[in-house]
Amino acid sequence: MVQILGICSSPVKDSNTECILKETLDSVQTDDVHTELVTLRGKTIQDCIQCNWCLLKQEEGKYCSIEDHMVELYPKIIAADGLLLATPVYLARLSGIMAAMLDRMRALDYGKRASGCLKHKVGAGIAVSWYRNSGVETTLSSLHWAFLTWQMIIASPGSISTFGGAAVSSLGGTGEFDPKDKHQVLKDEHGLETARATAANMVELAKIVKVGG
Amino acid sequence: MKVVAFNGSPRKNGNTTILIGKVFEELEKESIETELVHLAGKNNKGCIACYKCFENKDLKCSVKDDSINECIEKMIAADGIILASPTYFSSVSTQMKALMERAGLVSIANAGMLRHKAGAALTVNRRTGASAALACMNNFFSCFEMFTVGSSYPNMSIGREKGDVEKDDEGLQTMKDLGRNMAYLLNKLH
Repeated sequence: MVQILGICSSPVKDSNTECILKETLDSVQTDDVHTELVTLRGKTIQDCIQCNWCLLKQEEGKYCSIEDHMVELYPKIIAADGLLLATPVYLARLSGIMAAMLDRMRALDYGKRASGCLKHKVGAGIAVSWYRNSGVETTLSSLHWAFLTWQMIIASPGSISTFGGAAVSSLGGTGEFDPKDKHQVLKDEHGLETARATAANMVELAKIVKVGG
Repeated sequence: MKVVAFNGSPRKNGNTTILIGKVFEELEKESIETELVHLAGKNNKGCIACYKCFENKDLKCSVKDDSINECIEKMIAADGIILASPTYFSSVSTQMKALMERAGLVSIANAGMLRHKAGAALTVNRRTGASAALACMNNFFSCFEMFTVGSSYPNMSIGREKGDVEKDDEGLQTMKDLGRNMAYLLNKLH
């Protein structure tokens, strides 16, 4: 049994990002692959204040000095074999709350007790942009930097999309949209395929890491 | 199990080679066979986009007058691939780029050629640009469904003159951890 945790960082209710993440997680869900989707929408995740409490005073079960939504999230992240992070693309980068979450995950990399617990987990990303060329790659790349710095292992879908799941939320990425259909991401067949292929490789690697090839 | 490392430095015994050696030490501790391939002096050219590899689909580049096909054969035979290059103007060296372009296109023409092999990259810069060079090589692995390993910090070191990296304790530790993480993945994969 492997555990894949999907985290969506769109602030929009019923968003395209959440929609593709759900589709993607469903595509890999089987008897021996357990998936969970967590949305950061409406949650409070404060910035890391670099107080170094986690380095010096971290306690069992208490990972960070700040008590907000991360309290709930830390154990889920620790329990996961694979982290599939889905974010909308804002100015060719992650949404703010995803960046805040990544910063706060410092407590799991450097923390006095939890140090290294991200090591050898599998990481992959999905990014959803409005326009076709608005920075999906830099967004996914910033996730890759975080994964690699935490000694995680990256799974990618290969040449169909170098960095992971990459989809558009307007019609064909043109900026046109159908006001009657909010979930344009579901019409981006190729985008969905990149996300599914990313997740499939993530699951394959997570199983290999957990039980050996 | 075998790991092949391609050294993109024009110096055969420079800082890049020293760093590869540190990664190799950790791999060898786990009984993983290692091979170092110097790209220096081979005069490998860049891809000419003839797309003959898509017609032939024979795991070879159609330009056969240099050492690229030999490198491709070594990549196919290996379980893990290390790309190592000095940072030149925030990118990889020409030697490394020629290998990436041509082995890359042959890999796309022959789907699955590098699939699920382990990939690790490292670079050395005098002061700046290492991140971009490192991303360039890590992104190469992501093109082919390879699994990319990282280290305890981005896989880079500081140095200009031959041997400078020996003084960069943090960089050396990063290379050790990179080797350990690659060994970990290879042991799981096989």
